[in-house]
Amino acid sequence: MEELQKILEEIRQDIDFASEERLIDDGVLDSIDIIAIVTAVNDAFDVDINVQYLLPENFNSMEAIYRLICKLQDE
Amino acid sequence: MSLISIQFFAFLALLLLIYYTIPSKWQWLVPPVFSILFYISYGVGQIVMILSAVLLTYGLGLGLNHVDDRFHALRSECKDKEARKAYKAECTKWKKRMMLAGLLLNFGIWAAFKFMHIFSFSPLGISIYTFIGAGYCIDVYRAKYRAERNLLRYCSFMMFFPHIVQGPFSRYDALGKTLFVRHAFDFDHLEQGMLRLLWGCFKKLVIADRMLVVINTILPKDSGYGGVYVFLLFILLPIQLYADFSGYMDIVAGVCHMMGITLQENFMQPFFARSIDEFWRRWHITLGAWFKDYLFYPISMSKIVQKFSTRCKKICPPAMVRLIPSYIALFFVWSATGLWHGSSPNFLLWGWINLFCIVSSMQLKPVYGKIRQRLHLSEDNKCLHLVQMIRTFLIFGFAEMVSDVRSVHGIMMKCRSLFLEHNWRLLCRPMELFPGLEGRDLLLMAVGVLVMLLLDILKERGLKPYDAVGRVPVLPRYVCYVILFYAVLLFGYAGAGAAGGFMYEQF
Repeated sequence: MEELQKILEEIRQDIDFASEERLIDDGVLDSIDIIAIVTAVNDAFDVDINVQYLLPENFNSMEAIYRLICKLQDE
Repeated sequence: MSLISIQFFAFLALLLLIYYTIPSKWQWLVPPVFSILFYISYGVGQIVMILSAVLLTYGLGLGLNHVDDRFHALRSECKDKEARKAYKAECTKWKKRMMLAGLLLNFGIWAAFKFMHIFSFSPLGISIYTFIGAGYCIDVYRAKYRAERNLLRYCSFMMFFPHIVQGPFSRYDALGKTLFVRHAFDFDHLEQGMLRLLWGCFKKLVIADRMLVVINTILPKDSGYGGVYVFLLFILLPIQLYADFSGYMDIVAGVCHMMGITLQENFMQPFFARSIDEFWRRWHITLGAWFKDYLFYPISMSKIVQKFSTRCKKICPPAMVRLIPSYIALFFVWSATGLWHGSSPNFLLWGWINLFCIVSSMQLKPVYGKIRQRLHLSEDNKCLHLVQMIRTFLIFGFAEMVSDVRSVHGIMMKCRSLFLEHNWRLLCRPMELFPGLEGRDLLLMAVGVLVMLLLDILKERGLKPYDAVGRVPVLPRYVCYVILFYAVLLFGYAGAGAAGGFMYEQF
C-alpha cells in the first residue's frame, strides 16, 4: 500500500490519497491521470490493467486501486 | 423534415397527442414509429442504410452475449483452474474476432460513404448511428450491460429521431433508462420542454443565421477581407457554431423533455473554458466522451503502448514515461476526431492544432506555475481566468477558420493579412465591419449574443434556468413565453443567405 501511495503522490501531489474516496465520481482524477496511474502500477506491480477494469469502483480511492492490484496478482 | 418547420411542429404535436393518450403499455412504441416517419421524410431509400446498421449491431451484440454465455457455462462446470483460464482465453479470442469483423463492416460502410463517396448520397445521420451502434457493441463486449434482445426496443434506441441527425452520441444504458419507461403527462415537463425548444430556435434563427451571412461573405474571399476581418472571423466562427449547434441541441432536448425523456447534455458553457483541454470537456461533450471511452483508453492501455512506454524508461524521466501512452492515444484520438468532421486534409490539420495545444499545455504546466509564482498570481485569480478564457476562445476560433478555409494557400493568405493589412479603423464603423447585414440585423444579432452570454454566465454560476423560470409567477412567465415566441417569429433571419439547415448536419 505504501508503494502505491508513493506512486499516486508522484503523479498528483495536490491530492490527499489517504482520505479521498471519490476520485472518479467527483472528477478529481482526469483521463490523463488515470492512464499515468495505470502505466505506473502495471510497471511497479507487474500486473496488466485492461480497459474492462476501468470502472469508477476500481479507481475511486487508493484502497480500491490496491484491491484491484491484489485481485489481478491473484489471477 | 427540418426541425425548424411547420411540418415538424405538426409532427411533434401529433406525436405528443398519441404519446400521452395511447394505453401506457404501448407508449414506448410511439417514438420508434415516429422516428421511422421522420427518417422516411428524408427519403425512403435512406431507411435501408440505418436498418442495416441496426441489424448489424443488434446481431453483433447478441452474438457476443451468446459466446459469453457459452464459455461461462463451460467454465462454471470446470473445476481445474488452468482449464478455466484456457476457456476464458478462448472466449476472449472469439469475442475479439467477432468484434473485429463487426466493427470493420460497420465503420467500412461509414467510410465508403464518408471518404470514398461511392454513392451519390450520404445517408442521414450515418456518422451518428455508426458511432452509437459501435459504442453499444463495445459496451456489450466489455460486459458493461447485456445486449438488448428485443429488436423493436433496439430500433427505438438506435433510430431515436432527436439524436439521429447531429447527436448527442447517446449511450444505450443512459437513454434506455428513460426511453422505455412509462411517462405520465406532466404539464411542467411540457412547459419547460417548449421553452427550451423556443430558446433553441431563437439561437439558431436570430443569432446563428444572421452571423452566417457575415461569415459567408468574409470567409471565401482570399483578398479584400483581410486584417480586422480575419480577426472578426476568429470571434464570429465559434459564436455562430455555438448558437447553431447548441441551438439544435436545445431543440431536441426540449422535444425529449416534453416526452419525459432525458437526453445527454452536449454543451456546458464552453466559452468559460480556460484551456483547450477543458474546452473539449464542455463542447460536443458526448463526442469527446465517445472518443475517450472507445479510442483513448483502449489505445493508451494496450499492451503494445504500455510496453513501449516501459522501454522509454531508459531515455526519459519517469514523469514523462507515464505520459507517453496518453500522448500516443491523443494523437490517434485527434486524428480520428478531425477525420470524423471531414475527409479533407484541413480537418486533419484542425485535429492536430487541438492536439498540439493540449499536449503543449500539459508539458508547460510547470512553466506556467513558475510564471504565476513570479507574477504573484494565484490560480483562482479572476483576471488570469479571463485572459485564459479569451486565449482559449481565440485558439478555437483560429482552428475553426483552418477547418473552414479549405486550402492551405487560403489559410496562409488570411494569416498574412492579419498582420499586414492595416484596416483596424473599421472597428469604429460596424456597418462596414459586418458586410451583408443591415443596421437592424446587426442590432438584433448583438442583443441575441448578449442574452445568450448572460444566460451562460448565470448557468456557470449554478442557476438552472428552466427550473428558475418555473418559479416565476404565471402572468409574467407567460408574457416572457409570448415575447420569446414572437422574437423567434419576427426576428428570425429570413433575408438573403439564410442558412436553413444546421451546420453539423453535414457531418
